[in-house]
Amino acid sequence: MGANCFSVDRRPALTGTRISRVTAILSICEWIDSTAFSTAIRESTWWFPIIETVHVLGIAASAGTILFVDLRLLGIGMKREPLSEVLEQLQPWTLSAFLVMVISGALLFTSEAVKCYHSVFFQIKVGLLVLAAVNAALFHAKVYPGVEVWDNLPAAPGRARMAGGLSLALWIGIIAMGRAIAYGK
Amino acid sequence: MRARLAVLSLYAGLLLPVAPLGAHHSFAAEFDIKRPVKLKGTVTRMDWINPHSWIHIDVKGADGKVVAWMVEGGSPNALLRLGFTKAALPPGSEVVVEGFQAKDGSNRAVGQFVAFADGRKLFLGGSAPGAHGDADK
Repeated sequence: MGANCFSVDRRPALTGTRISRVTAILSICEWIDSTAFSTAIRESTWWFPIIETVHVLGIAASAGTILFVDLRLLGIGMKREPLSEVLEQLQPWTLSAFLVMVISGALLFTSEAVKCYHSVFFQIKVGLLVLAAVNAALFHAKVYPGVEVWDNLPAAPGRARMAGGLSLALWIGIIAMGRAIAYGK
Repeated sequence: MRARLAVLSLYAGLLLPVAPLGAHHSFAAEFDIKRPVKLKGTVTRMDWINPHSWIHIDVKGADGKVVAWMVEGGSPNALLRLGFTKAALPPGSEVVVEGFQAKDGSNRAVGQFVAFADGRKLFLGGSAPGAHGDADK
C-alpha cells in the first residue's frame, strides 16, 4: 500500500531507495511474524488476552493520570491544588504506566507485525503518539519552567492550556486508533 | 475565553474518534445481517490466531467455479471454550459454514457455526448472532 509502519504515505509511485526502504520495513515485519515468539503469542489461548488486558490497564493508569494534568492545565479539574503538585505527584504513575503500556504494546505488535504494517489505524496511532511526545517535551522545556508565576492560579496561561488541550485530544485519538487496529482493516 | 478553549479542545478530541467508528467490530458495522450465507466447501486452511480466527474454504458454485471464502471466528480462547481444538478443521475437511457476508460484498463472512457431514456442529464464538450455540440450549 506504499506506506511504512510510521507514516501515512499517499505518494502514488515508489522510486529507487524508497522502494528498498519500504520493502525492508515490510520484510522486517514479516520476519517478526515468522518467529516462534510471535507465533506463540498470536496462537496463544491466554497470553494474548492477558497482554491485551495489561495493555489496557497501562493505558488506564497512564492516560488517566495525563488526563488530570490536562484538566488542571485547562482550569477544569483539581483547581484547588497547585499545578506543580498535581503534575509532579502524578508523573511517576504516568511514566511507569507508560512503560507497562509500551512493553505490552510491543508484544502485541510482535504478534501481528504485518497486520500493523498494513493498518492505517496503526500508522495514525504511531503518528499521534509522536505528536503527543513532542507536545509533552515542548511543554516541559518551554512552558513549565515558568510555573512559579501561575502555579496557584486556577487556569494556566494560554500556551499551557493549549498543551493541555492538545494532549487531551491526542490521547483520545491514540486510544480510539488503538482499539480500531484490532478490528479495522 | 478559558471555557471556550476547554470546550473547543474537548470537541476536537471527540471528533477524532469519528473515523474509526466505521471500523468498529460490532457485528453490524462489518457484516450484513441481511446477507446470510451458507457455504459448503473444503477447508484449505485455518488461521488459529488472535484476536480473531479465520477459516479459509474453497466453495464450488453451481457453475463449477471454485471461490475462496474467508470466515471469521472467535479468538483461540473462545474457540477452545466452545469445544474447538487447533486440529478440529484439518485442510481437506468437507464442511458447511453458516454466517453473514461482509458489507463490502467481498467473499468474507463472520461465521455462526461449522457443520460436519456426520452432523457434528461447532460454534464459532465470534460476533455473529447465534455464534455461541445459545440457540441450541
